[in-house]
Amino acid sequence: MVSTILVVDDEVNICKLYERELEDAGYKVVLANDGRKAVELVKNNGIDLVVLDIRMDKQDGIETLRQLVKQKRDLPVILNSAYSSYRMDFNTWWADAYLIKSSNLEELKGKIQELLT
Amino acid sequence: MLRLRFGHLGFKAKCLLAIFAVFILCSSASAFALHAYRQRKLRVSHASSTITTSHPDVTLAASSSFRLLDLGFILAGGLIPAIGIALLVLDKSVASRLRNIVQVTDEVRFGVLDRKIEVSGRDEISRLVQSLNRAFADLRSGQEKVLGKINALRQYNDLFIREKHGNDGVIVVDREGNVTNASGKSLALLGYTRKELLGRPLSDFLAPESKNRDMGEFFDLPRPSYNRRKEELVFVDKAGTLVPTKVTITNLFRQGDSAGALFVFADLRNRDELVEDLKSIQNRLRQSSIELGMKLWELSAVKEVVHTLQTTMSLDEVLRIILTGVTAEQGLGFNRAFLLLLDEKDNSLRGKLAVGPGDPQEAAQIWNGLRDQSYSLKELLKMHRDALGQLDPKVNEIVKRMRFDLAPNPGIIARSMLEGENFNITNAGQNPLVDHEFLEMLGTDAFVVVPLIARGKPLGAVIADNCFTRRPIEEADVDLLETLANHASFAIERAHLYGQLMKKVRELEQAYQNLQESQDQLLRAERLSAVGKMATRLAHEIRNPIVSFGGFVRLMSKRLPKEDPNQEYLNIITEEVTRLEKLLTQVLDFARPAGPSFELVDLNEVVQQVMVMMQPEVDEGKVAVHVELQPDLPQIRLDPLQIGQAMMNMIRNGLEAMPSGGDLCVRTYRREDHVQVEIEDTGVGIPQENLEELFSEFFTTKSAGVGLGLAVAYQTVRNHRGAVHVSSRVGKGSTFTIDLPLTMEDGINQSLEQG
Repeated sequence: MVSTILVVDDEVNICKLYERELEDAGYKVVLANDGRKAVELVKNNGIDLVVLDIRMDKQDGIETLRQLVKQKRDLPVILNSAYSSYRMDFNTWWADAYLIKSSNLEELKGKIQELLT
Repeated sequence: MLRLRFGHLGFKAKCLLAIFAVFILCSSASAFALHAYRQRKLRVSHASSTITTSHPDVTLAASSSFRLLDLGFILAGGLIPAIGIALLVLDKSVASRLRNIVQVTDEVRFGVLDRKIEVSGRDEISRLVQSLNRAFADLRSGQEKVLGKINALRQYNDLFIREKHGNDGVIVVDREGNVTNASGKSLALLGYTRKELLGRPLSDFLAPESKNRDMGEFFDLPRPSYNRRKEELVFVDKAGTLVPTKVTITNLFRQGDSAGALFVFADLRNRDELVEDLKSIQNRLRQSSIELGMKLWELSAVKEVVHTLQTTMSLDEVLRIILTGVTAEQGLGFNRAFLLLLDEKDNSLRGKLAVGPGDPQEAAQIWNGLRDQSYSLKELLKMHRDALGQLDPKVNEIVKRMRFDLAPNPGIIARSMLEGENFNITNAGQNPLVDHEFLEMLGTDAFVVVPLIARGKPLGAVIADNCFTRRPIEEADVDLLETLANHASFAIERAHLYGQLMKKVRELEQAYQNLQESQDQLLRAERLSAVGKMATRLAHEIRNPIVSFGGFVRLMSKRLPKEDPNQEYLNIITEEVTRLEKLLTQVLDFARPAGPSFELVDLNEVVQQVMVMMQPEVDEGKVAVHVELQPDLPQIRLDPLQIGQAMMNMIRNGLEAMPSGGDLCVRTYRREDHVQVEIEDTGVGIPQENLEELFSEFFTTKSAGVGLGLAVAYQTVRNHRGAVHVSSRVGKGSTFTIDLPLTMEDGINQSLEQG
């Protein structure tokens, strides 16, 4: 069965890149450009994993993470940010992984695979 | 011009003049009256004889009868009023004045001597009055003199009778040689009462050899210049003791005749003692005048030293000046001097500086040299003050070895300072208070020690000796040394204070410099920080485009066939992007990780916040949560986020241990100097074998999670110098306790510095 991955990022190009790469890797990809939309999407089941950006204009990733955890405690979430400093915020520790954005998506794909198995 | 001055005429002349004038006037008037009468009579007779003519014979007849009878009438008419008026004038101008004179004279006679008769005019009576007034004045001054003499005599007599304490006795004898009076002192000397003495011949009281002398010779002195002579007579007192005396005999006269003699005699028995006393007084006087001279000279030396002390603030120079003053021949003239200062940390007196020669040869050399140069004390003090670094080697070697404990058994040197006393030690070898080791060091058994005390605060002591000249240390030397030490103490204190002040000034200068440097650094840092913040932001902003740029290039490269000639260019782009990303990672991700951020917080508030955050998880299960917070918990310095995270991990652990419900209790309380958070669940419990590994990384019994939660919590609490305790019973539940010390501030700071 094909896993569905929700990619949350307000950068359209990043979303597009992740979509292509993850689809190439055999996943079904759903996109959200802000945190609220992501929470909406998770409500209608079918999301197996979330890749969540932190810095977003409408509702940042940390608040989104809190809401997602409240909704579904077992939903794996990977925080994916251009900033390393959020790693020190214990609110980010609710997430299953914290990865810094890179043009090389091999690490991200590896983590997704690890969490889904 | 001719002026008549009657005032110059005597009384008699005035009277005669007045009488003569009245006589002339009255007799002229009588003559005129008589003449007028005759004329009328003639006219009457002519008329009756009808023949009457102016015949010369008739007139002649009439004239001849006038001469005899009428002369008497005229004289009487002039004399009678003249005498009357003269009598009147006499009574008026003489008698009344004479009565006044009699009255005043009577008053004077009765003793009112300060009277004076008024003088009017310059006649004989006035002259009489003047001489009477002079007589009265003489009388008055005579009376005063007499009264004065009487008073003096009375006083003298009183003295004469009463005086017993003077040195001389006085006896008065009459012409026959009998005693008529005797002074109190003479009675005391001879042991008789006045009654026993009076009336008896003086010879009764003289020893045989004096008795046999002719008493008459005492009274037959020619007067007035040679009426005094000196003799040595021996009296016998009432007890029969011979009393040798030296007598001054003065002859007394009454109205030119010898009236007796006055014997003034001094007891010679005490003469030798008196002479001795006098001599010793003279000696002492001479001695003290010499001493006074010396003192003045020496004090001027002290003054010179004190004056020089005021020219410096350096402690080294002050000490050197003091010791030079003590040892200079022109100063206090000691052979050697050692100065010791109080070491408060060590609670001891330590030798600081010494001045003086090392051995007799050196002493002779130095002193002779100085004497030849004939420096003044001022020059010497200045020389020594400026000669820093040139120390007398031997004495300074000695002084460096001097160290005296103030407790528990202070020796003589320490006691001098502690008690503020001078000690002039002569037989030091026999003195139990003097340390023998010290004596050996000093090399003499006579020395003086004076304390250095300023404003009641002990500073040290000065030891001085004369170990080469062996001159004894006199009390005067000690006094002088003490005077110098008093002044020196203030100079030392001043130098100390000045030193401290200068140190503080230097510290302030250093602090100011540091402050300026810090300020510069701060400014630089601020500038750098502003630049850095901008760079960081820029770097982050760049990362997103680079990720999509690089990502799509990689995607393109993957999607193009391997042999496509463009692959080479895509690879180049990918490599460059990777290089850029590495650079960003270096700049951004290897930045110093943010350490714990400590702040003073209320642990109860942290627990409440954590419970709010945990609410979703709590709501999910069937666990009843109880929170019991102890009010008025002291504030504690911690990182609320980290400690909150630790609590969350433990609460989550507790919730997960009760999948089918239970009770979770979170409590806070203070225990002595700790505050604690206790998280108790009624879950499955942890088997004993797992308890030990509980906090190790990646240990988990759960299917989900990365097994870091408790390990992280444990590490966090450890970083706060706290501890985590767990107690658990399988099937009953577990209790986790976070224990944070209240006094961990220092520890935290240390661990931060070390970190």
